[in-house]
Amino acid sequence: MFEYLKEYFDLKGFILCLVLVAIGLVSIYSATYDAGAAATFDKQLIWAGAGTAALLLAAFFPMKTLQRLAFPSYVFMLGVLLVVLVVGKTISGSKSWFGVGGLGGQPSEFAKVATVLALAAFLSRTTTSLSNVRHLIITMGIVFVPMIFVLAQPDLGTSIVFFMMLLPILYWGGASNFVLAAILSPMIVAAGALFGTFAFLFTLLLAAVMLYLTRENRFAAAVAFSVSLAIGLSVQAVYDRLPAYQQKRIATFLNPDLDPRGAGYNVLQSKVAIGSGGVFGKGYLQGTQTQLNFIPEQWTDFIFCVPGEEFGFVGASVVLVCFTALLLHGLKIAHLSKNKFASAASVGIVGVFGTHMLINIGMSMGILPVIGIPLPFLSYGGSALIANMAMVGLLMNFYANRKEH
Amino acid sequence: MTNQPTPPPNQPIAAGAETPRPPFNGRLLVLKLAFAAFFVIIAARLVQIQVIESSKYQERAKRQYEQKIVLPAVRGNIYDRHNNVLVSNSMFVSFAADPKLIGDDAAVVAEKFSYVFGKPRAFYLSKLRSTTSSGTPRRFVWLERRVRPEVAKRIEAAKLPGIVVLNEPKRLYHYDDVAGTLVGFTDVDNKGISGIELQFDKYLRGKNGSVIMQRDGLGRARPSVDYPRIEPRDGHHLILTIDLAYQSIVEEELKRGVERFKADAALAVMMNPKTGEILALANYPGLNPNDLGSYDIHAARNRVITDIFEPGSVFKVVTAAVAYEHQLVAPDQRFNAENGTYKVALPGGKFRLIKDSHEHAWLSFQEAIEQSSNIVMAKVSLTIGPERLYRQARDFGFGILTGIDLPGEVRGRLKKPFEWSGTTLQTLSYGYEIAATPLQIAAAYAAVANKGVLVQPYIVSRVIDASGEVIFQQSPQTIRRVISAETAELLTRAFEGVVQNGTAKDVRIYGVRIAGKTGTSRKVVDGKYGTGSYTASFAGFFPVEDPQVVCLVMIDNPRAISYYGGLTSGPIFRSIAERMINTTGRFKKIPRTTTNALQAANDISVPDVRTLPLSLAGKILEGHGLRSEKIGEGQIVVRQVPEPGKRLSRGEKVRLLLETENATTASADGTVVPDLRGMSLRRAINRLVVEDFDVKVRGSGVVIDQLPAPGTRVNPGSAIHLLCEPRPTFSAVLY
Repeated sequence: MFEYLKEYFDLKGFILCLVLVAIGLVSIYSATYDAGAAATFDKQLIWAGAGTAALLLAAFFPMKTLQRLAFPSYVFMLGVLLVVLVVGKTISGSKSWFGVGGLGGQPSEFAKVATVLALAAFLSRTTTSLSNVRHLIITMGIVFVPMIFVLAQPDLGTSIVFFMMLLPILYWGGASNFVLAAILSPMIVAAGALFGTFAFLFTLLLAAVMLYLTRENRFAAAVAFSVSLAIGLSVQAVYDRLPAYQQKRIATFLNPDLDPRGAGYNVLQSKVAIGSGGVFGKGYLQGTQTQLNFIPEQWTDFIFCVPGEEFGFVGASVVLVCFTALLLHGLKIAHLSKNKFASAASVGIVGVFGTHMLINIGMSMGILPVIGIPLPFLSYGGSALIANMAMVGLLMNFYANRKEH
Repeated sequence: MTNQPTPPPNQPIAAGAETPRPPFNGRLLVLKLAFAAFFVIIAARLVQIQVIESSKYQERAKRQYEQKIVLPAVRGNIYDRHNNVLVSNSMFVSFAADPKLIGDDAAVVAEKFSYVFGKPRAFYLSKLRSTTSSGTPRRFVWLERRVRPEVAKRIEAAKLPGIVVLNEPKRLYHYDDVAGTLVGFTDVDNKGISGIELQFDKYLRGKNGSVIMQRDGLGRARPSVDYPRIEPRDGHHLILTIDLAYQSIVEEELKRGVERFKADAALAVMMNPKTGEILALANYPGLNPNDLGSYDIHAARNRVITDIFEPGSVFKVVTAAVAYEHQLVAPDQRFNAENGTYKVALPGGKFRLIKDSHEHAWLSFQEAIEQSSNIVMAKVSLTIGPERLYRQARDFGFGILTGIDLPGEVRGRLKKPFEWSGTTLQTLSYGYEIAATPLQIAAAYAAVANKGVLVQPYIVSRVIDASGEVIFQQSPQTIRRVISAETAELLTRAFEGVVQNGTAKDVRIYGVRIAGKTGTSRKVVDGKYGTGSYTASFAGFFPVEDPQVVCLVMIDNPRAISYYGGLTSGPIFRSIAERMINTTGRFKKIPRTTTNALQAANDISVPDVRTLPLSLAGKILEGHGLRSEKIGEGQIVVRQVPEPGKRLSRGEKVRLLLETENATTASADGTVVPDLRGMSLRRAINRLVVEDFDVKVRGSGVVIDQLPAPGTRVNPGSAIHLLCEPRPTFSAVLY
């Protein structure tokens, strides 16, 4: 019986997911304990139930059908994203909420899943070759179209996730090092440009070296370098056109003490909360920073502070280990899967989770700018939780079908 | 695009059926390493902030969420010797604001405050928009402090955002300027800065408690369970030796005296000669601690102990004392008084003139005291000699602090014999070339009244804690025997003669034996003794057979009627003594004194002028030698204070309460006027303001009558006239 279960049911992924969701519920309970947001926990509990249903559905859905439905659902989600842009509800400056009657959600969360599956489906076609420039462009287009829709909401955080998950899938899909370098270069140069002239020149040099070492032909390398240079130069122009709150966040990230009561407040408070937790934490519901609501809306993007403060280094490490174990487990499924679609999709899912985790925890501790994306499984939010649990369900599905072609 | 249901193996991108490994193995490792790198970066950061730098963040968190809230101790009350409250506290409301929280509502807030408090909107706006030196908005500014609770309600009702409301105790001086300079006042933080409030601050202030509050991210405070609450210890109460009734009488009479004699100022100190208890201590003009803004800052000075005067003839107590003590003169020993002008030869062939204000040929020593002859004193002083005169003055306490428990006392100046010039002995004998405080003079006379024993004056008799436990009890302190009882007896006889036959005949009160001495000293103006500027004083005690009260009255620069102590300070002393005697009832009432009509007290029976027209009532009172004062609007007198049949002295005021229009036309649904009689003025005003009446006040202290009468229905907002007198309504006892 157990052997059978082990063969067809991904117990490890399932348990890791449930542990993370449980930590999330416990954290949300604490964060909202005295913040006048008691309904938050109850709602999240319902979402967790719905998420488990989504997980099981995804886990036992026929894989072939899934693969077949990948493109239609991708196109459908693109349509929904467009509709949201027109009739969506604006929350915190982003037109990302779509609601009908009492039900609503953030389609961008589900668009991530659809995009991963569509990418995997495209790359798993026998005819697809990433050395083919046309196929490469289509691959990037599959990601860039929803990414631009999301960016237009505007939701910088989620659009970054779209971009970041492209890299491991391309890499896994066999893209040459040059292709990866050509995609990475503009990004590195753009980030460098934000930090000032010296960093800009340094990243430009780095891009040049990368492109030179991985070059397949000089012309392509020169084009990629020129594109990087142009993007780097236009960063300032783009920066000027960003909404004020995002400009502020970037400026604050570069110098957090610039405005400790304004835009830098969250990072500072979150660092104080996590740092003051010490090795063993202050005890559940005893975290002063959490209980006294120093971190606004802590149950969303800054949920990591709760285990960090109340359970200390030990608690934060448990979260981190669970995440890393889930990521490595996802990579293992990708490795084991004989089906190219399943394999690529697994890597994409791992990419999504990894990006979320790195950016979210990184910003909580002041090593990355405050980019408003949630921590999977822990942060409050129905759409995200359901989508994330569904993705774990997909991983479980691919595990169960790892021997199928 | 459509999918391939089953991808064939061995394509460039991987997933070969049999051999998925070759292209993947290396890439799997790279991806695993990438995610492991994420893990390492985050874990390293966790170690950094949670393990290595944790204490820094813990410190920071603590600073952020813990705040010490002071629980203010209630400042102690001050009572007079009969436990009448002189000073207590009332809760007032202060408003502060957090401009950051108010943000864009500043205009609304300013508008509301401006409406309630009547200050311009810009006043509040500038506070709300003020910034720290670094340019960031302040988080705390005071908007209004010490607002009456009923006014404060109008702001609180508006529920303005970012407004902090604090209850702050404010000192309440129940009798306004009565004993104002004596009691002193506190600063805005309730710290004593003058008078008894300063001297006994350490008893009065108590000890503030505290509680550690946790402050949350929204700025709300809540008590912490981790720290004990330290309860405040309320201040101790003081019970003074002051008698409120005497104090009021003294202050009224000083005021009247200053007005009558057109003087600059007056002061008086009254003490029990046996114990040193100060019964009254007054300065006019004084100050009202409830309303400091309207007073000159110099008025805060308690001139009885902070200012020095050349005492003049009242100092002859020392000369006479040493002469009697050493039996250098007998009371009936006769001296040539030189017909008022005595030439004293000075070394170097110069002369110095000593003059008496009245010319006498021959005087006994007793008569010389009664008539205050400088010439006789100067002659006697030669017999006494510098050393003995100096030592006697020293023994009486001149040039030494009395040690009274009040701040700012000065010691005066008594030159030592080796500092004296050739004429100092003689001028000192009649009270010049010495500087003394009024309290020192009063204490010297108290020593005479106390059969030659000097006692230390004091003003706080007991300190009790909030539960009534006695913390400190002052007992009378004997300083030294200054003169023998026999000498004291002789001096008392001489001073009684001053009142009976001498310069202080105006002080006489039929049936009461009073002893005292007048003094009139020229004031030094621009370094010279001026001709037109005098300090006139009278120091005396009564009843002679068992002296219970010593009182010194000094009047500064009287310019009308007379400048002699016997004709200025003397009558003030007499009025004080007379009222004390009448109030206490301890001595038989004196129907009529033998002195002239101007000074006869209480010899006019107040006529009944009620229901008469105002003009007629005024004329009738004028015919009786009384003045009238109208209170309220209208033409018909409805009531009068005092009532008919009461006795008044010539020139005193009868208050006529007139019928108001409001009272007659009041609608049936109007407001009922409360009974305010007997209340302190403060309380009465508070009461009326709460009920939205318009308050008109005549006098200060206790409400003795009101218009319209209690129970009358008037329209809301009507004026209520309050007639007040400083004197409390209880009857005093004499000690």
